[in-house]
Amino acid sequence: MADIVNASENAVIHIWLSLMGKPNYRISEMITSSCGGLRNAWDMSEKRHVPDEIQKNRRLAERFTDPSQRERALDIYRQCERKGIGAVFPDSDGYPDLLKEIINRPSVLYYAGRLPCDAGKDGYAMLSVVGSRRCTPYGRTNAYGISRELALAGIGIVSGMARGIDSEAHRGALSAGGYTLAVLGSGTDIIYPPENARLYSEILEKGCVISEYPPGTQPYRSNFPARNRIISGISAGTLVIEAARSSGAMITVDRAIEQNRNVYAVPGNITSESSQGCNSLIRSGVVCVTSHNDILADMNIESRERECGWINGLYGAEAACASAINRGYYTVNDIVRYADMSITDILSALTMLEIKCIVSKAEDGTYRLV
Amino acid sequence: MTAHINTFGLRGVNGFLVDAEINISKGLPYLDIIGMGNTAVRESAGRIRAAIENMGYDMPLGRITVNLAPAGVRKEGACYDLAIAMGILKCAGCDMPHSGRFGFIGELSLDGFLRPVRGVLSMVKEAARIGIRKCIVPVENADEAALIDSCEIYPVASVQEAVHTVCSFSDGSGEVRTPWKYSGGTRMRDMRGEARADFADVKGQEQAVRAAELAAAGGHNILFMGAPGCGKTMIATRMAGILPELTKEEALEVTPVYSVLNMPESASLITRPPFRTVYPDVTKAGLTGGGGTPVPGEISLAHKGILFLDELAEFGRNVIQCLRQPMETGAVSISRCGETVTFPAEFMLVAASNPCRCGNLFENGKCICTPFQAKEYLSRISRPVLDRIDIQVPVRRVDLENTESGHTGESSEAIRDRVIKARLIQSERYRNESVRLNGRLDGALVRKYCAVDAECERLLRICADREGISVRGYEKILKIARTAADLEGRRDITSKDIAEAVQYRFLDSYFQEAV
Repeated sequence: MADIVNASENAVIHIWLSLMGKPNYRISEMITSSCGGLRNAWDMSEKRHVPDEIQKNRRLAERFTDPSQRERALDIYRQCERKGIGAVFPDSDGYPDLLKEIINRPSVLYYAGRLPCDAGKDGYAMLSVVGSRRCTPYGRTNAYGISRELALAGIGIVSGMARGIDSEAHRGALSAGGYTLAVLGSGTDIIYPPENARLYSEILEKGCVISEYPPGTQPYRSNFPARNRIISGISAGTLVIEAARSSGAMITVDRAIEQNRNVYAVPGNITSESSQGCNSLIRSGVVCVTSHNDILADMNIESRERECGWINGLYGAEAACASAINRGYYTVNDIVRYADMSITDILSALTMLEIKCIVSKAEDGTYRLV
Repeated sequence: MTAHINTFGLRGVNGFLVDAEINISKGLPYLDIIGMGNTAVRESAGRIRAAIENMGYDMPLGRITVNLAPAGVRKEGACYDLAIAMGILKCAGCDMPHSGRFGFIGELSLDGFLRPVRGVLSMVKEAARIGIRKCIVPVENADEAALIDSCEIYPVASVQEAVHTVCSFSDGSGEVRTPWKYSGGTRMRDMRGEARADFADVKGQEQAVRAAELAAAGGHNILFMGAPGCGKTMIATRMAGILPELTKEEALEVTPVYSVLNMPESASLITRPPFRTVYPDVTKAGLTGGGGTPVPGEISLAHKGILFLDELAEFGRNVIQCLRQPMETGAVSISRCGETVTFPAEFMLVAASNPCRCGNLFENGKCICTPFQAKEYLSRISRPVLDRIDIQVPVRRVDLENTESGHTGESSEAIRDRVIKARLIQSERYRNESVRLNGRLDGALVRKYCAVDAECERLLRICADREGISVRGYEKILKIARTAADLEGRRDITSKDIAEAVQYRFLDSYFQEAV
């Protein structure tokens, strides 16, 4: 311990305490109070002096005195320093305000990038966007579009960087140059799923990646339900884009309700399996979101009017395409039939609309308004 | 005493001159055939002896040596029978002074009559090329042989008739036979088969039909992707019907391929572009050609026509991989036992594939694959081959409602007229080049013939920035735009053509995303 300067001392002890067991906040709190301070706890551990309250739990007592746990904490700390990963604790600056309020808050939060408070998001301007990993183009477009609009309105987008909706939500926020925060189920230095490597580095650059797991932790299955409480806890509200009846996203919703946070849901097709969760939420009374403005209104944030009705600046085939898509004709064949124009005109108009960022092409070859 | 008789062998799809030399020397009666013949050639000794005797001629006594020159080239099959028999008769004193002006092709039966052989067209073509203006062929092969205008064909039924035919030119006694006239016109085979199926039946697939038209007009390779039953195969099979007829020269390149394989189509000149469907269980040899003595495979049968690969993603990787050489060079080389044979293989590739394992990726929400499974399915397709497919287009199931409502598709005939016009423009433009179609342009030629103005250039650059288009992707867009302009008879590529062309790089952008 002697080689580590005072300021870092707290960090090491916090990390050490977080290794004592789960729920780690309550346990570390208990240890700190029964030993009468952080520093004391460490010293008592070194001297193998176990307070009575800890002694009640034999397993905990063993771990408390185990020198390898202290070694491990030091090791994690050094690893963090080497990899440029920061750690914040409930009693230190930078720990997200809203997260402090939740019961089972993580006693250590590892992060890379800019924490919300550094980015000027005071906690109430954060919204989590969650949904199915196996999503439809409908969900994908909405996740991207709504996140983008909310980011433009100054809201930070929180999600889990998983496949599907999560990734789209991050991308939407990033496309607007907004702030986005990813809560991982692995160490902050482990990229999972691997195809999100590029997204990961973009989030690091413009936002933040956080995790309660020490660097190097692999994405174990069991980590993910637990991290959902952080996703909902760190944000003022949770928006469900697309979720089946039992899914990770619905777990996040349960946590959000427990934590007394707002829940929003985007309605879906009643026949679509992947919207069952959202629709049932709406039926049970959560705010039904049909546009980003619904959320902004609910959060009392002034909506930023989008410049120009998009259709005004368009003419000819482009206008026809845009209005066809707006009416729900998403495939080229449908657009051709609706607009009753030649296929060549329609195809070139679609390219122009894509370039103007009015329309985007989904991966199944359908077109949506951005 | 020696005699020389002209006959022809087959190497790949080309005929080559074989000089059958016959020598009779003193010795015990024996018929020996040398010159690297296979079993069929060596066994012809028995057929020839029986045929000569049964036709009422005398088999000369003595040691008969037959040499098939060039002696260093392997020879196969029974097509030399007639020539050897004629040589033996000539050697034995039968007076045929003009026999050197003839080429003899045919297999003998024991009673002295002729049987048809394969590859006659190639052989006669070679005869005409080297200046042998008269050929004697089996009756059954007469029409096929007569496809070559510059060679007179005399079909014969037996050895005797062959002898009489040759003699009639020398002794001036009987009337000289008139050469056979091609009679295939009446039983011209319609290779289209599916071409009876018309694009007018395709409803609600405007995007795919337009893509098919572009592909046909510019000779671009095309890939249709969509769920099972959405109409990929339906559209693909109709594509043969919108290609223009083959020219005479093209037809004479295509027909020999069928002739070599002894396929019924070769009985008449093939004038429609061939359409060959290949399924994923095809072997490498079946696709590109092969065998101990190489014979053409499906890609050569599709020469100047369409090779349709159904379920592209299900093909074995190394099977697909071997399409690369032919797609680039328009020919395929096969090496066997130190011999290399080249077959023509200038085909247009039309492929169909499911977009994912369950096939429903494009059917809103019906796909049950995980995103990884979906991507993995398409990544089975060899990228180098995919790179050479200019047009990639998604096909969706059509609602019953749309198929029944009035919107009838355009007829194949109307589309074909536009395609023919566009192809004429291209052949005019490329008259000094080795290529004939936009789809075959590459590198320097693209820059030369697909020059665009500043506005198009700007548009292309924007698209390239947005989607990360590679140099090859850039060329693809230009080539398709060129075809789109040709279809409308425009000299210059406009930004509208470019904008349309960008829409056909579906898979490219899909994979871009997967990175």
